[in-house]
Amino acid sequence: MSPRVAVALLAMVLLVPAVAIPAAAQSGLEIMKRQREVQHVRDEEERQLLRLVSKSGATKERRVTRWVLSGPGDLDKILVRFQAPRDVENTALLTWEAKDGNDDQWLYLPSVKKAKRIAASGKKNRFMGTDFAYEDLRSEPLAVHIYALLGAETLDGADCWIIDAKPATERQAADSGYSHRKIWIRKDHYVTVKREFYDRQDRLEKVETHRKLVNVTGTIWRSDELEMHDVQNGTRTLVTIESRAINRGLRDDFFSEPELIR
Amino acid sequence: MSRAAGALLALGLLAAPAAADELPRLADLPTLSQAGPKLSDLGFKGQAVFKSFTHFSSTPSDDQAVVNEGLFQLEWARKLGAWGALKIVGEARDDDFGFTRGLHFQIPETSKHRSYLGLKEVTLAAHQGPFEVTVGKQIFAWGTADAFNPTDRLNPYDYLDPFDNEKLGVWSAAARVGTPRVSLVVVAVPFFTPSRLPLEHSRWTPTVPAGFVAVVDDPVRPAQDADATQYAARLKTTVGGWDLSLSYYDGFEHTPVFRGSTIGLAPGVVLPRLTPVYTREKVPGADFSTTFGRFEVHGEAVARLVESNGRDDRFQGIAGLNYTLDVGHRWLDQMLFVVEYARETVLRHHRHSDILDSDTVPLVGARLANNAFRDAVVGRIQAKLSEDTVLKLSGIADLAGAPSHYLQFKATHRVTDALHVEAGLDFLTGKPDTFWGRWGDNDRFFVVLRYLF
Repeated sequence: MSPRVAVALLAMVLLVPAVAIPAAAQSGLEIMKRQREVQHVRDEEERQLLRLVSKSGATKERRVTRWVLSGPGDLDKILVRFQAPRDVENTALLTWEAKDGNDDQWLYLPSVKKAKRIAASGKKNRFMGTDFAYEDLRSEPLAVHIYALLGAETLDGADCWIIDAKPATERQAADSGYSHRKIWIRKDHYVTVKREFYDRQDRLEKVETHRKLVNVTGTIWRSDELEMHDVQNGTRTLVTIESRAINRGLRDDFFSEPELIR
Repeated sequence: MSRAAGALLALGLLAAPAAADELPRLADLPTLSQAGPKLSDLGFKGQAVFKSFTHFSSTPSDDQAVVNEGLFQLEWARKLGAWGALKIVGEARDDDFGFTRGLHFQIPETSKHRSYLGLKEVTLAAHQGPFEVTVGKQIFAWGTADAFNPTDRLNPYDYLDPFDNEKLGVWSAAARVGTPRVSLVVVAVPFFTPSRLPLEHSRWTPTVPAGFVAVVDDPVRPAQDADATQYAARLKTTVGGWDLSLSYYDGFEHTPVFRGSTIGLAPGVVLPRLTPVYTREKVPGADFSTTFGRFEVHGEAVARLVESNGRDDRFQGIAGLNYTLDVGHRWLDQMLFVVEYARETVLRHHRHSDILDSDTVPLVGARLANNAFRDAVVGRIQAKLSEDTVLKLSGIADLAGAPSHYLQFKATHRVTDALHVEAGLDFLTGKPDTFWGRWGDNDRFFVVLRYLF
């Protein structure tokens, strides 16, 4: 064995456990926690093109920019601002995640030049005509869900864990529009590639599929295309990431009312 | 409703002069926005608006049943490097009633009429980190309530049609500093701009009953000198899920009150004389907003302390809640319920004031009142049928004295992302000497077409 091969094997032995822990060794919650660790960034900016496709195939476009800042306790601050179309341009939603899921949210409507606090009950409501509910857009709230490892499956040639997420509290169950969700997470990169959303009657409501996975840097993977398919209504929202930047040093005060109404 | 509610203020102030699975994949879909160059690429955007109001009755001063208005608004915005931005909003407008007359550019705007061409906003902003300074003709929006914001005192309104009013920009300088949880804004407005009031021959200028005769002067506006400068500040914080603000305003009320006196026309013939003047006041205030589950709860209150040209120091407050119900039905997506209660009370009466109590002028009643929120309940029910269609029912009940009411039903529909249509009905009930009842002949149907580009 040449020294070069020996070093390579040693590296594999040392590194593989760090990113591909055997499924049997982890519970659903551990996988979710590990995913959060592996995919964690301090801050992130994405410019997104959203195409809303009706049942008949008619298409509408929305353009948004989404900024995320990770805070203590893995609670994010999220600012989403519409760039197009014209009638919603500059409309913005600021979210400060709370551990109990009772997030602070403000909606800025340019027509009245005012940011208004909104009740978090709107979480299950669709976000600006898309197939995404507000709760689909926040980061995974680990503290208020129970995660069960259902098994494994190969998806598009990649081994995935399938994890079932159910509300852990009555409050979360009341606030959420879903009885439970199934989440497919790739074993190699700890990145979510598919989610199924089940309504309160336990019927499949929506399927979210991630495509074009890209390695942004290090262990950080993201999908450049995303589709949310409402199987009950027959509508789809297709998301294309037009640009992305991570860890560029966004300030905390960027996620504030003065910035929201700027 | 908020527009109509704000309108309350204006009113008859100058009444007296005359008184599938097979859906295409992402990559297969065309990108609609790739179709050719756009004005927005040059920093331009705008809207064209057509409004038509059909009134069901004539009034003694106005028999024009249908009033049409057109507005073309163009906005140009440009970033000035990393440090600032410039925004200019210009507009061209006309109507067939006479709201718009002439071409005038005034600082401040004091014309009774709108100009055919005008600047709605001009803002130069410079920012560095959490600090920002803006100068220009600006519009501010403070407060947390829906129907009426007692802390929002900086801008006058165009009340030519009180139920379709709009804020007027004020030439001003503002400095802001913000941290995630605390923000402070300080504003200076060097010129006084009065609200634009209903024209003398307008149906919105209340008819004064027979037997009431008075001489009404032209409004006496504050001199445009250093003493006319108005100041305001607002400190806002977010603590434990509560938004809390303290505000302060030192300036003028933008709608006039009447100074009462007499004028001798001949020996032994004396008539009442009414002179519209503007109250200077100091207005400390506070507001809050928070959520409890599905409820958003808010309130705001001010003390309006008279410095000059005022009869009473007053407390004004409003509190209420919003409740959002996500229905999720195919034909009904969401319901929104809003309930608010507003109250005004006299804190101190200025004994020797020569300012009339506009709420209870002998023979005139509340026809000259300029505040619908003395003792009022406000409600709104909004049904969002889809992302494109919303139905709204709004109402205000004035309980101060004999009850009177305002009710509006409105439907809005987004035909396309660029074309919106709005239609509705305004109803006003009450005795002629009540706040809303004075406009009892002004029930109407309206339609608004808006094209955005």
